[in-house]
Amino acid sequence: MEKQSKNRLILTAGIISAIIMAGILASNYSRLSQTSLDTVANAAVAPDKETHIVDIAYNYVPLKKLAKDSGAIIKGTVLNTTDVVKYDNHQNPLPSTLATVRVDKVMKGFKDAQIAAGDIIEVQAIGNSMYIAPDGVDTKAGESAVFFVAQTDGDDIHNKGYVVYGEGMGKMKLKPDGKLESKFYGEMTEVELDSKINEP
Amino acid sequence: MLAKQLDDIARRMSLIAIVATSAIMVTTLSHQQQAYAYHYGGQKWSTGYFQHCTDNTISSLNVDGSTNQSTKVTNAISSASSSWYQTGGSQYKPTFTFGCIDPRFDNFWGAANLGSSLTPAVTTSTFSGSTITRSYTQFNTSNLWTSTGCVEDGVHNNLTYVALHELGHKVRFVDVSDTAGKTSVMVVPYHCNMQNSVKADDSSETKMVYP
Repeated sequence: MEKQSKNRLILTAGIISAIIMAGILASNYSRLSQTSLDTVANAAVAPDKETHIVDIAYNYVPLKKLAKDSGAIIKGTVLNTTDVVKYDNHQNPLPSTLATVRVDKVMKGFKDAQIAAGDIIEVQAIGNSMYIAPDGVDTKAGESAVFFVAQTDGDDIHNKGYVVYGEGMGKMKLKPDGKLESKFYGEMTEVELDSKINEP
Repeated sequence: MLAKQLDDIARRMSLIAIVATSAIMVTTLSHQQQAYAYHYGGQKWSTGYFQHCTDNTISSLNVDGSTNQSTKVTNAISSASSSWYQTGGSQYKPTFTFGCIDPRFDNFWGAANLGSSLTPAVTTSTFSGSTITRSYTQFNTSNLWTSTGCVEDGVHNNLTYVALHELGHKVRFVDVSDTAGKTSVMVVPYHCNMQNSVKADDSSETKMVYP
């Protein structure tokens, strides 16, 4: 009899603990969601530190059209980067990065401007080290990439010169395994890229 | 012998009950994270209240084939704002004014030449810790804007649709890749059937951020 009582006691304890946990879960159902958001908020930034984000909207174009509309396509290595900031009428910053790039290979050349392997050029894109553009070009010194380049006479963000055409769409990062990676066009080899941009 | 067996059964049942409850709890928590936190960036306006401001740069946008269409631009922003307000939480109360006291520190909408039409707009936001302190959006004057209809040709953009997406950034939602399989106004690139309205995910998350 004593053992039966003990068994009932253990069983009852298990069931009660389950009910209590379920009850806690139910009562905190909505609060848990908010907690997860607060956790994201707390993890994202240090308290009181001023940070900036530049969100770029995009109109998608197929890779072949991007290649056709850009003036040149080069494979290059970023030597260094410089933050550039213009301002609107209200002194709101319009930030960009000027990247100095060594041209390693020309995959498509300009009609009216000569770029050859070994040349050093500067290309500009929206977002910089202070004003982070998550979907932007995000160039870093030392990295290699394929850039779709266009020429501009200058606008409210870019200076006169070369720009990355289509901002984040116009850069494909070269990965250690030799493949090219694009946020918009996925992963491919250089041969596959060449085939895509030159297909009839 | 029988008592020992009963003892074992009781112990096992207790263990199963506890393990099952724990599994349910973990699954539910995981589900909550996915449902409410996939496109919230982690910062918000301190009061949930902000004004929309514009200036005369918006008159340089080509809307429906001609410039000097400021009213169409402000109507688009106002319409987009109302959509977010109606679907958002009770503390999310944006208001709209044409012109404002100081565009440097309010929630500003303007127009600028951003270069290629592949980038129809740019929104820049500043945060102090987890609080949004400033946000300004520039529509691209290189694009051809429309007040009705929608095409995905890389040049034309519906003003209200882009305003809906940029407003998402202003309440700190991040872009969602169109390969992620989500239905949200924050999906990029520009998709007519995504950016035409605030979706259920956007609404539910807004209510979580501004309850």
